[in-house]
Amino acid sequence: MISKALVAASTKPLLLSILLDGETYGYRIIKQMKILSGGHLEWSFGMLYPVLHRLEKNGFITSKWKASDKGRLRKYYRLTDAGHRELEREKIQWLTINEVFTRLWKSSEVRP
Amino acid sequence: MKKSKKFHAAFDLNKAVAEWSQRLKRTGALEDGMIAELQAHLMDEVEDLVGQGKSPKEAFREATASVESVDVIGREYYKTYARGLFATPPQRSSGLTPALFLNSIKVSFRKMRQQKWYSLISITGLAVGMACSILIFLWVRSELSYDRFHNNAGNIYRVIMEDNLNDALSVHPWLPFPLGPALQNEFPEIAAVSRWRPDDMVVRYKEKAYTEMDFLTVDPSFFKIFSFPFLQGNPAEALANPNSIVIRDTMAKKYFGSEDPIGKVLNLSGRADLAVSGVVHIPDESDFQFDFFFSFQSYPLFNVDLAPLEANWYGKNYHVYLLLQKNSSAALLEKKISGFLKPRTPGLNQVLRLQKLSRIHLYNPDGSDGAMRYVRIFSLVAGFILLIACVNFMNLATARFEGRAKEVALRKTLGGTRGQLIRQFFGESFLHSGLAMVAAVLLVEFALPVFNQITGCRLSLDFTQIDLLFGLATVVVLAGFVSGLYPALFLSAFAPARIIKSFSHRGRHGSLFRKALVVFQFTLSTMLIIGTLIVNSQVSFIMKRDLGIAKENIVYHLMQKKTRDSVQVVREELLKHPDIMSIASCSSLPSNIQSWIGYVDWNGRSPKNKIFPAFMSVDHDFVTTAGLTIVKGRDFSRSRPTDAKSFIINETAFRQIGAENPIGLELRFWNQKGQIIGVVKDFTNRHMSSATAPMILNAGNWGASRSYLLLRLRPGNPTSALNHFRQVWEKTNPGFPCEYEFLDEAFDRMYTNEQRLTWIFLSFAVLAIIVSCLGLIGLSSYTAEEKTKEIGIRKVLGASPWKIISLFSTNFTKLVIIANAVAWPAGYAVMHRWLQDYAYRTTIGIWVFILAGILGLFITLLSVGYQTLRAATANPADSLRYE
Repeated sequence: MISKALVAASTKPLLLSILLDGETYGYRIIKQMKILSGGHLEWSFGMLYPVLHRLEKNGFITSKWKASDKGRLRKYYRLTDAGHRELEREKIQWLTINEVFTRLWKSSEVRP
Repeated sequence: MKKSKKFHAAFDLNKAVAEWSQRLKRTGALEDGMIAELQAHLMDEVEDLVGQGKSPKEAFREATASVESVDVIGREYYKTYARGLFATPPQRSSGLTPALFLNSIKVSFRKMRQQKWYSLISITGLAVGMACSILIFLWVRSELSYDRFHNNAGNIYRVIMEDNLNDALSVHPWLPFPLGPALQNEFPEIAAVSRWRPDDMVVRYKEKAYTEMDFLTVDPSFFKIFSFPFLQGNPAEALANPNSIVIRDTMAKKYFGSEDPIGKVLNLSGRADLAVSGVVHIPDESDFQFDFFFSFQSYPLFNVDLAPLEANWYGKNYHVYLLLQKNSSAALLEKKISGFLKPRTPGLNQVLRLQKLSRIHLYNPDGSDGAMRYVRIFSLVAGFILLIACVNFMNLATARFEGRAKEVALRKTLGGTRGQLIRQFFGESFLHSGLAMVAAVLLVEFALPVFNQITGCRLSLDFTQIDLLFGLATVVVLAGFVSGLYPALFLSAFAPARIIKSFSHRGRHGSLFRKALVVFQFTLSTMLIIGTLIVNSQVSFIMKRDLGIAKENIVYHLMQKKTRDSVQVVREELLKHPDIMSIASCSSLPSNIQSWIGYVDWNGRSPKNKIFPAFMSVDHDFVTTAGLTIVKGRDFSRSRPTDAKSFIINETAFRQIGAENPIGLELRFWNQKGQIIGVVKDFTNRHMSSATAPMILNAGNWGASRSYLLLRLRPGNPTSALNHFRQVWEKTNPGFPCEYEFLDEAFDRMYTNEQRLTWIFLSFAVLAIIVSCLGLIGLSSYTAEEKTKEIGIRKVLGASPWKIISLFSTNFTKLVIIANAVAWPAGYAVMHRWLQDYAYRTTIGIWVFILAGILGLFITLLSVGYQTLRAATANPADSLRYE
């Protein structure tokens, strides 16, 4: 399982990244994340929706109520331009950290 | 399968989801939009699960189970939208909501502005009450701290005597001279002993000379037993040398100014020269308010032989203080010394006891309340006044808060909890009581100088003292708590719907409660009025009582040895003035007898009849000069030389001796004997709390030296006679100050305490009444306001303003009458007990109660009247405009 702190830190970039593929809604986000992480990252919707609302409040995403094919209403979220820029910033940070880890672990493999 | 289908049909998914979202809604944690989104999510999950082959019911159950508790979701959402760092979600009532707290304070101040009148009255009333109790607290604290500062305070005892005379027990601290040292020799548990005798002398240093009344003769160990702080000199050694004298810091300044007092020689009454060996500070909170201290070892320097004193076990003119060894038991020692005097004074029944130093100021030697009584009474009074003030405060608060029932309703409707309301109301009362305390402290600061002057106390408000601050804080909290109690508990319990729907939220409940409070405080005020009247009547009773002595127009002056020796010359010189009618000398002032005879014998005395008379050495003109009345026999006469060995006794002594005809009876005491030649009418010879003492006057030079000169002046303007007196005095006593005083003033001084008491009682009664009045004014204006419409309607229907005023006043009058019914017997009981302390006491007349009642009623009508009058004369059109 992934630690709580890491889940909290990664939620925002992960959400923004998922929305890169286009607009989607809460239930699908949770499902998608479960599949992508191989079941290691299971978001509860009690956590997901407040985060979505916060991102919307910050202007990174927008939402829209839309009828589904079955006629049920769903709230769809979509990235804004600000959201794209925010994701770029996040990406640089995550890649930097990723790079550091990669180098560290590589060198520790080389040592013996 | 059929069954299962039926089962499936029974589960209505839409209904279940609707119910589920209703449940979310009811918690109040989530907004509608959020719920809709959650609902959509739920439906997606259910659809998915059904697609996996689960029944709708199972799917629903699984999906809802994965949703965390609503509270958690709500909090997550709230974090997103919260405005402030400390904000808490609305669905959760918090212990402390700063925003709401600020709002409460804002509302409190706004209400204070809106209800200026009530706030002013209630805060003033409470402030006056608090100021009053602060004053009393300061006084009580000072009374309780007397002589507690000595390092050995816990081990210092005063020896007292249970004196059985004619079956009457008198307990006093006056003991024979040899007792102290004898006790110390016998009982090892006594670490140190000092005797003590007050004296007065004329003190001279260079050209400065004053008559000093506060001399104390002690033993050298006095300053080892008591730890008075020495500014100069060594307490242990200061009185070791018979030539030395210790003076108080104020005296050092008076005689030596900025000079170094140590080693300077003071001349005492022209008889002895003593060198200053120490300067001592006597704190205010000590019963040893003396200015000069010297040792009994110095007596020979005054030509007083110690040998006869040391052999005299019958004289009772000295106090004895003991310092016990640490860890020794006072109770045990008391047992051992109790019979110590028996073998030394055969025929007398005298038992010795010990009195602890800390009890001396507060209790009489016999253990009954001395100053402690006043500490108790005034603490009670302080409590009363504070209680009245709090009751008023509470009363007004109740009235004010009741008008705020709508606010309560609104706050509750908007989600305020009862806890928040209770906190708000208490907060408001604390704010008010805090403001009142600030006002009270200012008041005390202003009142203290006046209070000190009237009462002769030296109190001060020192905020560095923890107990004072603690006391003040306690009062604020208590007053705030008591006054906030009613609104906090009753008002906060109101159901908002009832208040908003109907206007009749003011139940009988509250008004009955307020009435009870009014009765209560009026009972207390009436009792205080009764107390003041009775104390006052007792004081004027003892002041005006026939003293048996014509104290007016008598001037007295203390003489030192030289004048005493030449008194005849002085006398002749003085009598040359036409306004000086007669002159006499005597050994002590009639208001302050200093000499007592321990044992008197006569022929035919029954062994049980022992009398303990006061003794005064006088000259032949004393009876005329003092204006005493001879009721039997005759006055001393210069033409009969044998009169130097004769006695005049007073009526009390005559009664106690019990002889049918006392004239010619021979009395024997102090190894001398003489005949009774006359009986004078009793004259006051001690404080009115005790009966007149039996007394023996002698015109020979017995026992005590006649150091007082009495002059009877012609009634009228004494200036010329006094000028003559001054001239003669200065001529015959060069270098000694002429400091005469009037005898009636000396008598009046005996009752300083009683007069102070009247003042204190009066001021407290006035304060209590002011506090009560403020309460009444507030309450009546509240009633008048509440009944504006009723008054309007009555007026429209033809009621006269008078009718309306009487209607309103009757209500309050009834309460005052009830209060009187309680206060009269209670006041009587308390004051009757107080009067028991006096041997001569005024009778408690019914007029005292009637006067107190009328006064109370008058004050009530006055305070109620104004508000009612305003309401009664108002134009009904104004009050009924909205109907």
